[in-house]
Amino acid sequence: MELIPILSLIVLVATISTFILAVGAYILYKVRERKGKAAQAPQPSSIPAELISPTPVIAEQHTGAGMRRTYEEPYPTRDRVTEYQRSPMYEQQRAQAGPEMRPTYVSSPPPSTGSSGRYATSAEDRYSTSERKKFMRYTKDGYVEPTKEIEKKKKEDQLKWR
Amino acid sequence: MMEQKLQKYKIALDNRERKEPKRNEGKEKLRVIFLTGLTSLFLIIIILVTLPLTVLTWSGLFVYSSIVALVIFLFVLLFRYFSILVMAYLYLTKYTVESKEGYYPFISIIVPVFNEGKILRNSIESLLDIEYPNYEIIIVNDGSTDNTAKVAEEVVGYQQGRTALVKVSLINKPNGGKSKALNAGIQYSEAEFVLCMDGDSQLSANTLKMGIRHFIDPNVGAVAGNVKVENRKRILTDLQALEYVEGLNMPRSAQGFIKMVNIIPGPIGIFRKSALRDAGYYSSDTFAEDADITLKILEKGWKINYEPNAMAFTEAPVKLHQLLKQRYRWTRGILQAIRKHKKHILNPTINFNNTLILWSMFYEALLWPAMNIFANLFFIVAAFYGMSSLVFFWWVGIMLLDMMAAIYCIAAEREEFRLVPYSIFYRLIFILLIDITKAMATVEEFLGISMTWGKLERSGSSSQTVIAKSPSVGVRNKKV
Repeated sequence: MELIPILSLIVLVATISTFILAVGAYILYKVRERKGKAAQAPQPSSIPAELISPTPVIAEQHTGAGMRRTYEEPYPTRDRVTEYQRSPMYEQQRAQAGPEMRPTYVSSPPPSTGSSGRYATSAEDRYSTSERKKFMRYTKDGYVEPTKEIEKKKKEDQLKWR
Repeated sequence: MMEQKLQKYKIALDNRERKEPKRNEGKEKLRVIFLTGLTSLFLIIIILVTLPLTVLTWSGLFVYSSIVALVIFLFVLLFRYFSILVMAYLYLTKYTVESKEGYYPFISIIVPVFNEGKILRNSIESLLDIEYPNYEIIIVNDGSTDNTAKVAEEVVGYQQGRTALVKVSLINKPNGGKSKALNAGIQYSEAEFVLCMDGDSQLSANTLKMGIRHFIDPNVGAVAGNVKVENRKRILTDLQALEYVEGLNMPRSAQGFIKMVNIIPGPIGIFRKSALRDAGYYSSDTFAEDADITLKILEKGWKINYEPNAMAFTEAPVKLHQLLKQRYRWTRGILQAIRKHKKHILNPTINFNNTLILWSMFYEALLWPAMNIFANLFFIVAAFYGMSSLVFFWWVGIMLLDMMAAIYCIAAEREEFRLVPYSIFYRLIFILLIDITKAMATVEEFLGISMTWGKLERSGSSSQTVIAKSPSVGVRNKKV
């Protein structure tokens, strides 16, 4: 007897069985799913929750540099790169995006564990730092406010003139 | 685990989500029915008018059109296979020669858990074994009804990690789904980068080190990790392991080459917080929150990379009905996500990358299963007309293609070679089963039949597993 017809028959039977199996499993799934249906409750704008965290270690309380060590970052972060390198999200869109979600502490909040300026305590601070930087001039001394720099230059000029 | 003094705070979590504009679903469906009906009518009229002018009969027309459709399907299949293989090869080559070291920003690992009491301790222990100096773990208990809260509370504190003490915190919140649990963790985190994972997953030791280096590029908004099946040595889970390697990870490598990964897998995804903020965080209006957040991040112009060495080991369904239920949910979720972003499908001028990605997702979720089912039905019918050898040759052709791809993918990922023989009946049975489920899920999604989330029953079989200490690509988990 030839081999190919036998193999074809095996493949055919396997394919038909798979079809039957899939349809059977689907019917079973629908029957099982029908048993436990629940209506969806309306979603409130905030939900109460409980936060359990360890007592901050001494180093964390005083210096804030205990657990969250900051390593020197030799690579550019988004704050450091030039404006054109940022993601193409326009300012209008950014404003529409709304505030960054932060949890509200009903009881007293834990002390901030921020290790450096990179980890601001609130979203506003973080925003304001990055937003402020946009209007600052980057010099060898880091970010400098343009007005201060002008005043400094004026003083230098005066010194030279004298 | 160290015993420590804990503090409990009452907090209020922001539960708002960015709402999409309301759609008139009934009107949309009517429009689709009208357009497809009109197109079909137009085609039928053309056939009725032109058929008498040809030598074809109705049955001849059916056979020839089916063969043409199958040949086109085969070409698309080959094109897809080879383009994925080439792009994955280019990505892995580029990846091998590139070196980016010394970038260790602070990262929060967010672990959403719902009734994961059996395996939570194991998951946290694997997280403490991560080789990275600067991270914390935030467990979000999403209203579990078992002993999850108790187990989680036991691990809260400063725990000894591999290189430093690691802070473990816990948020107990009412049940609201995975997306809301992840949002809660993101709210509490003060880090610039967050790693979102599943409660039942375990991460490899160098996940953070390998994953975070992609963020050196300030345009990278997220990095997708490599998901591996943990509970192997069963036919069904081995088939899934092969599917993860061949069907999920290899396309992801190819997408990594163009920095446009289309789904950041739920078990492991690293995000830049500003990218999440741009995208409006996770939404709970789809059943595939991972696909949805990925599309939203891509939409905002961020790039998404793939890191094969950032591995998450996950427990795969061990029973057939569990597997089909999982795929049913995935398909409906992906279709919901595609529908949510459908403006990009027809308008490539908004964001061409998104259009490309959405078309490929549409193909994978809708066209591919339909064509596969059609091909199998055609050969069954053909067998009854005395062309039984056609079935065999079709299967041999597809099987050889699958086997070749499996060998390539397994070699590239240094996976287990014992998975290769599964490719013999991978397409014939496994993929056909999944494609039938996908087709049914698609029909139900179109009809708007309601569905529930469902929860995979954990056997806890992975609790005996220890993750290899410093795995590179392909170094697998070891059973003890």
